[in-house]
Amino acid sequence: MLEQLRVQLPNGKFSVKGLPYKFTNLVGQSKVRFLIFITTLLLMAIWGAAYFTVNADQQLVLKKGILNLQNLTKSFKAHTEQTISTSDQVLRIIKFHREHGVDLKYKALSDYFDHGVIDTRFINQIGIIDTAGDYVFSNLANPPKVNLSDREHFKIHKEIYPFGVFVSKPVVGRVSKKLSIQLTRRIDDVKGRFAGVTVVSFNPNYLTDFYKSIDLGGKGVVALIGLDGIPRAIQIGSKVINSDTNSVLLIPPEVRDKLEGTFMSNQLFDGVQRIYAFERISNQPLISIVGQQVIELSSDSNWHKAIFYGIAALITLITIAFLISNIEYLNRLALLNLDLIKSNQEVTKANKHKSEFLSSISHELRTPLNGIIGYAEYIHYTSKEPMIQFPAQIIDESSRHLLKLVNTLLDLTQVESGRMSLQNEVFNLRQVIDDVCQTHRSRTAAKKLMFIVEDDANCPVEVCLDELNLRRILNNLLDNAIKFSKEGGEIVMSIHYLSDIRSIYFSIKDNGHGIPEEMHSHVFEKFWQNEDFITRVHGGSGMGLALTQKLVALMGGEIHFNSASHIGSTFYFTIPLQVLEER
Amino acid sequence: MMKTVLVVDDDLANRMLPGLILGREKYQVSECADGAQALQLLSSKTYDYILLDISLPKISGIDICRSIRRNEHLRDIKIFAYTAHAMKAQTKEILSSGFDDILIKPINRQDLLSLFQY
Repeated sequence: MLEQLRVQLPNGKFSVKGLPYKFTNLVGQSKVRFLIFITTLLLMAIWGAAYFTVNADQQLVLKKGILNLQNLTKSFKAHTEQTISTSDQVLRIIKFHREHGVDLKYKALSDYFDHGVIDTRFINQIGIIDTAGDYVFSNLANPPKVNLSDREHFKIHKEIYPFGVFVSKPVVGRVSKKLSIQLTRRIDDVKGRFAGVTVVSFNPNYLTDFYKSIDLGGKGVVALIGLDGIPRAIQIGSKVINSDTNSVLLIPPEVRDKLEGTFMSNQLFDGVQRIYAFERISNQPLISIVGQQVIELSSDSNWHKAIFYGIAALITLITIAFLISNIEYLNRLALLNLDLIKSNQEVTKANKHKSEFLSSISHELRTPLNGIIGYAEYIHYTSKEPMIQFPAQIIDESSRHLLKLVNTLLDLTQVESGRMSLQNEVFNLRQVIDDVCQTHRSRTAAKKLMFIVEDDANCPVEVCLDELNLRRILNNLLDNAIKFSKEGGEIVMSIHYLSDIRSIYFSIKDNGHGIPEEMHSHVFEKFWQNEDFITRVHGGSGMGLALTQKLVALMGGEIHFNSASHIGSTFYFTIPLQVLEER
Repeated sequence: MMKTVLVVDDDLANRMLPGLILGREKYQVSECADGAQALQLLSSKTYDYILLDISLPKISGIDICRSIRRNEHLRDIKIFAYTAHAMKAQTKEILSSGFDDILIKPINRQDLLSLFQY
C-alpha cells in the first residue's frame, strides 16, 4: 500500500504521498536536519543562559541573605552586650554598696525599681548571696530563705572568675520560680576575700524577643550559646525554646576559635539545614548566632528560577512549534514544487508537440503550394494564349492569397504561444521602406490611389530591428489601407524619429471607408472585420490587425488608430530602437 | 558557357519546376530524387549550383550538404536549400549547416532567378 503511495522526488529521494508532516520528509533530510540542528543550538543556548542566570541569581541571593544574617548577628550581639552591660551596672552598684559597708536597705532598692533608676523591663529579681550561699538580700519584700551554694555561679565566684560577670545557663529561679538567666558578680571583702555573690536574674526571652519582629522564616534561629555549647537563649521561628536541660549543642570547632563568621550545619538544633552567622560577645564566653534555613535563604531565587525556567520552557515550546510548522511548511512547499515541476514538464511537452505540429503543418501546406504557385506562374509567364494566361494568373493570385493566409495564421499562432522571438539585425531603414512601398505600387496604381510617403530627415539610416516583422507590420497596414480606400483616394505614410523616446513613429493614413466608432474596441480582435460575413466585399481573414498588434508589441512598441466612418482611418505605431547609429 | 544546376527533390512537381524556369534562362538543369543519386551524379560530374530539398528519404538535405562540403573537389559549388521549412528556427539551422542561401517554398520566378545572380 505504502509502496503505491511512494513518490520519487526530483532529488532522487522518496516520500509518502499524503504524509507530508512526517520527518521522512519531502524537503530532503539535510534541510530538516539543518533546521533541527539550528533549533537545538538555539534551545541549548537558551537553557544554558537560563541555567547560568539562575545559578548566578542563586549565588547573589545567598550572598545577600548571608550578609543580612551577619548584620542581624551584629545587632543581636550589640543587644546582648547592652543587656549584659545594663545588668552589670546594677551588679556593680550592689557590689559597691556591699563592699563599702553601705547598708543597702530593701526600701532603697525597691525605690530604685519603682522610680525606674534600675531598668525593670527585663530584670526579674536582684539579690545578694552571702559566703554560705544563703540568699540574704532581695528586691522582694519577703525573700524566702534559700541556700544557693550549689549554684554554678556561687562555685565559680568562690574562685576568681576571669570574665567578671558570669552569665548562667537558663535555670528556674528558686526564689522567682521563673526560668531565668542569672548574671552574677563576686563580692570581695576589704582584704579581697570572697564575700558573697550579687545576682541579677532576667527572663531569657528578653534577649530573643527583640527578634520576633524580624522575619527569618518559620525555621529562623536566634540564639545565645556558650562556648561550652550550652545554650542561654534560643528562639526558633516565633517560638522560644526553654532549654534548661543542659543539652550541649554541637558547635563547629572553628566557631569557638573565631570572633565572627558563618557556617552551615544541620546538626545544631533540630536537623534543619541552615546557614548561620556568629559573633563572639565581647569579654564573655558566649556566641551570638543567627541562622536561616537554606531553602528560606534562597526562596527569592527559587521563584526567580521558576520564572527563568518558565520562560525558557515557553520559548522551547514556541521554537518547537515553529520548527514543526516550518518543516510542515517546507514539505507543503516541496509538494507544490513537485506539482509545479510536473505540470511544467507537461506544459513543455505540450508546447513541443504544438511547435512540431505547427512546423509540420507549415511544411505540408507549403509543399503543394509550391507546385500550384510555381506552375501557375510558369504558365502565366510562358503562355501566349490569353485564355490560358488568364486562368493561370487567377490560380497564381488565389494561391498567393492562400499562402498569405497560411503565413498569417502560423505567425499569429506562433506569437500567441510566445514562440516567436525577435531576430534583430542592422539594416537600412530607408531601403526597406522603399522596398515595401514598391511592392504596393501596382495595387495603388490599379485603384488610382495617391500614395505619398513623408519622410523625417532625422530618421537614422541604419537601425537594428527585426526586419521581417517590420515588413509584415507595414505590409499589413498598407494592404488594409489600399483595400479599404475608395478609387481615387489618398494614402499617406509618414515616418518620424522620436529622439526623446528613441523610437520610430509610423503612421498610415487613408481617406477610405473608415471604422464606425462602436466597432473601435474590436479592431485588434481576431477574426474581426468591419463587415458582415454575408455582405463582405473586401475579403481577408480578419487576422491581419490582430497579428500586427501582437508583432508591434513583440518589438516593444504600441499601435493605435483614429477612424471615422466615410472619413478614413489612421493607424500609427512606434517601434523603439535597440542599437542606433547616428547619421 | 552554360551554368549547370542540379535539383534534388523527391516530389516530382517540385523537382521539375526549377528546371522549367531555369531551362528558359540558359541554365543546364539536371534532376534527381534523393541523396544517393545526387552523390553518385556528383562523383562523375561537377555542377555550379545545387538546389537541395531538406526533407528527403534516407539522407536529409542537411547531411547531403555536409558530405558535399567535406569533399575538396566540390568546394566551389553553390548549394541552396530548396525547402518548405519556413520556421525561423529551421531556416537558422539550415543556414548554419553549410548552405549558401535558402529558397523557401512556395517559390516564384523572381526569387529563383535573383538567387542565381551571384
